[in-house]
Amino acid sequence: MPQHIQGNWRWCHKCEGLWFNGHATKGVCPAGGAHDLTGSGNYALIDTFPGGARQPNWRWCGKCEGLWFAGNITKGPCPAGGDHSQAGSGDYSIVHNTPSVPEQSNWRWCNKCQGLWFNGHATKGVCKAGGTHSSSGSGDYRIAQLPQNVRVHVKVLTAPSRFTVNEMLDGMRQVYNAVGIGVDLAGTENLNLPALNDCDVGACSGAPTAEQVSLFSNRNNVGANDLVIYFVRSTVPAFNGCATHPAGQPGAVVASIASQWTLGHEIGHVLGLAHCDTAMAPLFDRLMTGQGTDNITNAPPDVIASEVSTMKSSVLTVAA
Amino acid sequence: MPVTFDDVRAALLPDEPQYAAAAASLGTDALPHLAALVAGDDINLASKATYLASMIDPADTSNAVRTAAEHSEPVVRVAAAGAAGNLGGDAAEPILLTLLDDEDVGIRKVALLSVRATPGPELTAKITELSQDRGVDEVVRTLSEEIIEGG
Repeated sequence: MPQHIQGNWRWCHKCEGLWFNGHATKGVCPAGGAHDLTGSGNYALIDTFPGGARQPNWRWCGKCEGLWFAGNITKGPCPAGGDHSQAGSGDYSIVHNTPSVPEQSNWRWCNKCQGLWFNGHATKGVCKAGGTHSSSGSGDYRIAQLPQNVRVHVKVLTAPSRFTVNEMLDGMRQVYNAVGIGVDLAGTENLNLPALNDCDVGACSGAPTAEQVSLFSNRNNVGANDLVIYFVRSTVPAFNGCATHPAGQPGAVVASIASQWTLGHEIGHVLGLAHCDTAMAPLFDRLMTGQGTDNITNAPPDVIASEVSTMKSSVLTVAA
Repeated sequence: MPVTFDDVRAALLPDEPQYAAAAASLGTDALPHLAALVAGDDINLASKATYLASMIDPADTSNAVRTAAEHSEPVVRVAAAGAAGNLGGDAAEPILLTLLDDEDVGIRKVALLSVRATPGPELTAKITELSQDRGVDEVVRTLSEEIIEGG
């Protein structure tokens, strides 16, 4: 199985636990309500890492969004009710008792709820099994933080037909997380704009068209350095997507016919990347191929060092 | 060398096809392949093939745009509506008349944007009808009014 670096894991200041922020729900917090990412960095976990200093068998719980250890007989109590679930989870591997790894230390396994929690504060958080978390019997776990993020707002006029928005975001994260860039889904909004659902993008170069200007005016108060992706039914003429945008309104249009990689490709353009190949010499192992991301042969596709440098230099790639 | 189906498909697979360059390099030999793609099940390639065909063949002798205008997938009909703007008046007008009767607001909007400065009498009558129809979507009615006033 290919190794998969997945960002968007967050620390919850209410319960001290680690939880996944890649879904619409913020899960269920043992301290009450949903988890809260306030003050958290963007943590990255590795799925299917081949051994070494890492301990496997950590799982995502689809009920509470938390990370828990599935290597014991008990599954631990879940804040959402019953025990934790590993349905749909990858097998995450976490650095264990290896001080030489330069990642954030002081994460602990709780023998009461099986969850992973941060022991770097005075509080021991809140444990679903009662009281605070326990570090008894735990080693020292270390987790990497992604130093930079892009913040993406999704605005849907028409949902894509070949891949879901979440599948496209997951594809983008596979590529971006692997080079140390997190992808935050900062918001989702449905827009009812029938006049712009088939958006004239002209040649998709140079100045945006009047329809693009009109469409991109629907940022609705998102931050200046946040990217807004408008999912439309189609572009005129037919493209999978188009990254041309009005000045000061960074974003792109993605059409319903797009591939799994079109979202990451178009945002790559917005971050300053050009196509990396020609029809005579296609590079189908690269995200920025100009010969069609449907042709990509190695999932996830590559971005090379110079491209990563450009992406991280963009004002749209902000500190996590 | 003859243009092959794979040549045409390769020109359409990019996320952002370079239509003008593809039209220049492939030429009319591409038209049978484009017509086949328009009639096929892949709506990504069908919609892109529609537009490229219109750039190569302004008379729509291959019937690619005509076929796309009657496609079951709205996305392909939108492509036909946009492609009609590249066709000559004689080829474009019957296609636009068909698309202006489409129930889909987006398709009608794109079709109206493809109407030339001086539409023929039948098309003018259709646009006038739309501009006066209070039951039609506001986007379509407003665009129709603008065309009539501009004409």
